[in-house]
Amino acid sequence: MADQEQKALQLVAEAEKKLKSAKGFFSSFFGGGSKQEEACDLYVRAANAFKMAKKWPQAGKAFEEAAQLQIVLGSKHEAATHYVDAGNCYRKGDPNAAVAAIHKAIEIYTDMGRFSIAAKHHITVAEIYETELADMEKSVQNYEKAADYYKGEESNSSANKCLLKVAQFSATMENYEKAIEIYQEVAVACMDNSLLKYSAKDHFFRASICHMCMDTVNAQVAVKSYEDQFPAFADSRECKLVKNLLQAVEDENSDQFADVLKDYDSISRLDPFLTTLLLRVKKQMNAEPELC
Amino acid sequence: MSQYKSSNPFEDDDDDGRDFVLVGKSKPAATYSYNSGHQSSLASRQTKPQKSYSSEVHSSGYGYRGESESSPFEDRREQLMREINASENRQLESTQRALASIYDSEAMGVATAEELVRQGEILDNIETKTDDMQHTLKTSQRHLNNIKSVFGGIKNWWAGGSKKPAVNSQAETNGANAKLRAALDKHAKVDTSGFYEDDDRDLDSRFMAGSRKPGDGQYTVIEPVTRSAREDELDFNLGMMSDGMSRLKGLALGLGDEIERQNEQLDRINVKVGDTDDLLSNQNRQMRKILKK
Repeated sequence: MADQEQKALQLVAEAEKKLKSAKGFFSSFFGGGSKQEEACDLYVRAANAFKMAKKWPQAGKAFEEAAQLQIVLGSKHEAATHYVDAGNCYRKGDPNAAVAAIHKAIEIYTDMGRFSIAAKHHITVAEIYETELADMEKSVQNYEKAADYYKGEESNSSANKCLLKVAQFSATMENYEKAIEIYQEVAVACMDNSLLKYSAKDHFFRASICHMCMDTVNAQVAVKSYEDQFPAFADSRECKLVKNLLQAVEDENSDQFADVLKDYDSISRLDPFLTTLLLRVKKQMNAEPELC
Repeated sequence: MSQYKSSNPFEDDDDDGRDFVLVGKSKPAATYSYNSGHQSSLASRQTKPQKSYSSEVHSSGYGYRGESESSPFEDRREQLMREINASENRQLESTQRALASIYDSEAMGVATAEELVRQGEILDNIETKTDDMQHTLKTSQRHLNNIKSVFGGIKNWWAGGSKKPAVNSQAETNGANAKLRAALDKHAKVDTSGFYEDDDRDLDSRFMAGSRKPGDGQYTVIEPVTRSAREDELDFNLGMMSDGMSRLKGLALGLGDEIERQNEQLDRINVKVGDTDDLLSNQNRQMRKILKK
């Protein structure tokens, strides 16, 4: 799409010219405002043309210029939208630049008090860190911020969704305390809702597996307390699995451990996250000579 | 009957390894006749020693065997026992498959439920914000009236201030939710007790050595056939299946109700957003007129 690129370069040149001319005599009066608006418009069109030509970095840059102009013009909403567009363009090429652009957008939104949208973009950033940059720490931070904003806006389900991701990453990074806390909190919150109570048992299950990774005695105590709090958990297959696993760990019988797992897996698959945690438990079991 | 006798000698050598797992029932000698009966039609399946599928039902036609190791009736009986075992195995495996798919459906249902609740929250948000928008638009309309003319300003003064619409829409949805929740909980309890109790009585009556409680009534109490461990497992699986089904039913009902509620909400939002859109375009028009003038 070379012609699109040509068009885009042309538009960018035009926009820059307009900007330069706007710094003329009458710039602070009526002329300046509209000149900048027109320049901004030209930048956006240029960015779109770059997008069509698949020149992502240039498209992102053009969007950023447009956004900065909008800030000067005082139209923050538009500016933030342009920053988000810039972020999307950069995402395909340079994740770091994308994160920077989206962060600017988030700042504007939080300034305006639009926390839901800010939270949504925090999730986007977290996903970029998770997939393209593979930086767990930053990803966790962003998910946490997103969850906080959602809680502030009383969108508890969305907040819970983010918190679950935080818990998952914390457990993977061996920060079991935090993961357990989050799972318990979310599970207790879910228990009351008629639709969500079915997922509460899953959260209790994951919390108990995290407990097992830390300490088996604690795990047993915890499982009992979950059963008291939530009787339906006691009937579930997950609870039986946890109990069997604890039994196997106590008996130091890793074959039994593996058998129990295979049994459960034959009926309903264990996802990779759980498999990782359980493998850790198994390794611990083999390593430590004596568990009390 | 004699046709099998002739093929038997060839079978004897092959049969030794070709044992299929029968839990504590089969005599090794008896496998010969059985496999010989199979030879003609199910040759491929005989290579699967572990699977009980190899001991197929269709052999019922190949009844009588010629080998005179034991009486034909004895063999026939054993053959039937093998068929029973095979059928039990199949039943067990199919209940396990059924359990697997029930749990899969449950997992999917749970995920759907979470997503639905999240969407519900967002829709509530949308409704509130749309109400806000309408309120803001009313204010801006008043400003416009002020700008347009002197009479417009006086008209405003007459109309008075508009109060923010109370959060009544929120309250009524919450009320609906609470009622829904109560109904669902009651429903769920009744369901599980209904299913579970029946099954319990069923299992109990079996475990009590076949003595049946008279009041079982509407459904037939199935007499245990072989009292093997497999049958117990089968019963257990069936119990789990019924639990799973009742949970699925509860989930499905809950999902359906939530979807209905959201549908109604969407219709309301549709109307409101349409009104807001009209107001907006109206005001835009007015502003354009003023600016041109």
